[in-house]
Amino acid sequence: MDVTVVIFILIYLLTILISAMALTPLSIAALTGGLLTAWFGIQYGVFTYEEALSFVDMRLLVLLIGTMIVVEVAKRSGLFRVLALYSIKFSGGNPAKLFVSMCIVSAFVSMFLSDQMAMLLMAAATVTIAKFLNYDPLPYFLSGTIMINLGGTSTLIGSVTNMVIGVEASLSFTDFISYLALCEIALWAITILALYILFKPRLGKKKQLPEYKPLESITDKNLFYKSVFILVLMVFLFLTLENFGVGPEGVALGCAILALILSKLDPAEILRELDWETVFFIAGFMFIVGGLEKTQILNDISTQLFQMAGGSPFNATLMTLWFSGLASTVVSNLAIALTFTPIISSLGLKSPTLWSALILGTNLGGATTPFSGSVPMMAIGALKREGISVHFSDFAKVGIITTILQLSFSSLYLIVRFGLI
Amino acid sequence: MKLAKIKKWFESRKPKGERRYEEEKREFEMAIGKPFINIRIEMPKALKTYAPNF
Repeated sequence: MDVTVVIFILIYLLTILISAMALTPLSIAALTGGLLTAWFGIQYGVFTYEEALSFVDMRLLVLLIGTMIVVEVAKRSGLFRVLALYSIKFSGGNPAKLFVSMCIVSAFVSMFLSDQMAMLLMAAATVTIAKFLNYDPLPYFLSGTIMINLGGTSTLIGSVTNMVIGVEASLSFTDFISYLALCEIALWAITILALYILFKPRLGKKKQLPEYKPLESITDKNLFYKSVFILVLMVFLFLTLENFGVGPEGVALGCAILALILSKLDPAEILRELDWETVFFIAGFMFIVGGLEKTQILNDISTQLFQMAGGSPFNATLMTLWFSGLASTVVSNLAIALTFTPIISSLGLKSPTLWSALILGTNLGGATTPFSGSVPMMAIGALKREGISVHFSDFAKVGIITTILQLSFSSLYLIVRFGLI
Repeated sequence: MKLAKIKKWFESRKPKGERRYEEEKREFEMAIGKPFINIRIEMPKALKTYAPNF
């Protein structure tokens, strides 16, 4: 094996290991790995400086940053808080209704907000209502975490991994919905049902809800309506402009500029609150994967994997789904998405089946154990601040059951949806 | 020295999430029915010993 291949693989594995063990922030690990890859690659003549610069896909970063700006403006308007408040009000103090509506809103909110931001919002809502009604917050909290991880599986902007895969595979907003929306709706229903059965005895008894009007929590009505307008416009443009050759990154950037102009908020303040950690993690990791791609090792892996699958799309799809799903339970699902996209690309298959399997796998594995990703860790951190400790086994028991259930259903869905038998 | 600075920077990242969580929680509590009113009280110097009671 060529020395550069060994060096690049070592850099890749070290970055994954450091990220998984949270020894440094993800961005630092990926940027250091990216820098080392670029340095060794240029020194050993694997690629040129100009080629190294092309490793970073600007379309993806523009899509990510544009969407983050629009959502940050919407978040400041209180839009997502109002949704959570309505979901609580809708329950009328009935714990079963409250549980289901909190699960649905958690998943819905995470279709727009980053998973971390959705977790903060729903954690605050859950703790508040649990204190008011004297409920055990744990079932609501853990279920919210699992639903946030699940929410947005079928939309291009629903999660960062979806953006990575969507841009690489050139999947449009409509493609995502047509391939995966039905699956996501069914997964919501199955997961909520499973969580309800698991937590039913701990949900509490019916209580009187305090009287409140959700819309009254909005301090700037003007900003609220503008945010709703921009979000609706963004989804509309995602759906329509793809026919006119405008990519999702163009729509996201345009709507971000519009949001900054219309909201009249301080752009510096908005930009400061964006999730730069994720942006720089992706940028750094793209260098690492770009270097590996140049050595042809990913091509070889891709060929070998397809041979292992016996050349059968059925086996290849299920392998992709389960491997990416299980790997995402221990490794950052973003790293899995960034690694697998060039592997699947190099197979040269035009079929969306493997892409759909990768999208489902990377999305579903993120809330299996407390260490599967940043969302479970944040949930546990928030509970700890409230003086409630969660054992690893408490979380993992629920996480493992729901992840296996979700991956099993997704296998069936992919087989039926894409006619794999 | 640099390592200490990097460590400090890592640690400074943590409160951002906590701060936003506390802000969100306060907004929810206010919306659901626990209004907060912040009143600034100027205590005469002679009564400074009573400050903890307020």
